[in-house]
Amino acid sequence: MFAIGIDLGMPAGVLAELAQADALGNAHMLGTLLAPYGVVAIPPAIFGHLLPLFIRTAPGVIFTGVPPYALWEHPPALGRIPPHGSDAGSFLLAECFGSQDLTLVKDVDGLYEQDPKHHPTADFIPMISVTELRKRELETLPFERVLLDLLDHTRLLKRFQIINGRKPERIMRALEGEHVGTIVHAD
Amino acid sequence: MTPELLSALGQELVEGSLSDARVLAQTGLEPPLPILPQANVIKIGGQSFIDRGRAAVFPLMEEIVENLGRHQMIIGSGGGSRARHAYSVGLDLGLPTGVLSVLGTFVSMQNARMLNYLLAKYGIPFIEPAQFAQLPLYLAERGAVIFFGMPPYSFWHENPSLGRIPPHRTDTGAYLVSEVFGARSMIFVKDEEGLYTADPKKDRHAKFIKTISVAELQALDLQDVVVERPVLEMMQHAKHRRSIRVINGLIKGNLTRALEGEDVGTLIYAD
Repeated sequence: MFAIGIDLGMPAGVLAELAQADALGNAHMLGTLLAPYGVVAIPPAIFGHLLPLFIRTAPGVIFTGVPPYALWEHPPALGRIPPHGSDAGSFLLAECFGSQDLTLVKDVDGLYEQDPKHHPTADFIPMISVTELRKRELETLPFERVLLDLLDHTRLLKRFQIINGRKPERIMRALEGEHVGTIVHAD
Repeated sequence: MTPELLSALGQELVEGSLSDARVLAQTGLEPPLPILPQANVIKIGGQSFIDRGRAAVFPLMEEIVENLGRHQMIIGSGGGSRARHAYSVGLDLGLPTGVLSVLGTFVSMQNARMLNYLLAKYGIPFIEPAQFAQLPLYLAERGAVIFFGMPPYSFWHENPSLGRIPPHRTDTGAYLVSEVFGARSMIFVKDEEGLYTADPKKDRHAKFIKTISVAELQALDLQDVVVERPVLEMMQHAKHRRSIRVINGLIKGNLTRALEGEDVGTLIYAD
């Protein structure tokens, strides 16, 4: 989506608006798969208002990770990719609602000194603070960079964990509060 | 998706990481399209303007009507004292920034609706964020549209670095509309000549600043700035809207001058 949008001259705000549809599509797929359990995708417009009701009445709820910034996305410092993607959307929601924790389920065990997909011998980083992470100036991160800035200003959510969802037993363990990936925390 | 369907950039974006500065830099090689290059975005202050009532608002509405057909106008509304009050009640109740931003949105929406009714007989619509896809039609057909200045972040509003008042409010929301559409101007209609070295209402030694860059303004480290600070930061990363104008809308003719491109009020620009 981003590639063709950029090619057609779309600015960052438009790319952010279009990205919502991709996240919504994924949310619908998850909702369909989990429908037998009563876990469904809630439309973004009413999600925030009704979340407290849904989590009491259903075992869980699915939401569109990309936040409703759309045309009002902040101009990125570099290039045109919208800075507030689905990691940021999930983080901001967790912070606003004072959630217990935030778990980002990715396809890597966590954070490494270098992208493990291109450097298989890279060192794993089990836990790191925002300041320490900025100092390392890593070329790539397995999550959106804006999360570091968001962690600077949180009042409630002080950390998040990145885990490997391809080892699904780690999801339950992460929810139980176990350290099964990389924890990034506020200073 | 087969590799032939992806451009070189597409390949990079699919295989690379969106956190990689090298990849990001490649997405910025071409400037984006200016979507509505003939449009002017006008933000009418809440506390500074609308809260003053008909003495301020009616003449400004007349001036907007006079410019219909000559200049395309996307008109955003501020919040004002009711928003401040809502924030103070919300803070007292311990509500987080995201919830406070919803309260601020309602106030700016109320102001936008009132402006809408004042301009209704000229067929000028009010649109919510969800209706922005229709904005080009209304602008082309009616010459102007009204929107509420608060950005639609709601629960997803970022925390400020200090305190809990939502940092991205109506100046910021209106500014972002001007940037994303590549509008030809961003005009903030306030109740002072423009930018001063201090709040002229509180400090009678405050000096007027006619033109200033964002870098120079940040170096001055002023206590009070006439527009929300995020606007200044965002201008530095903007692809289109790299200058804004602040004018005194209480003086009849100032809005028209600004629309005509004259140097009225203060110009703040990013280098």
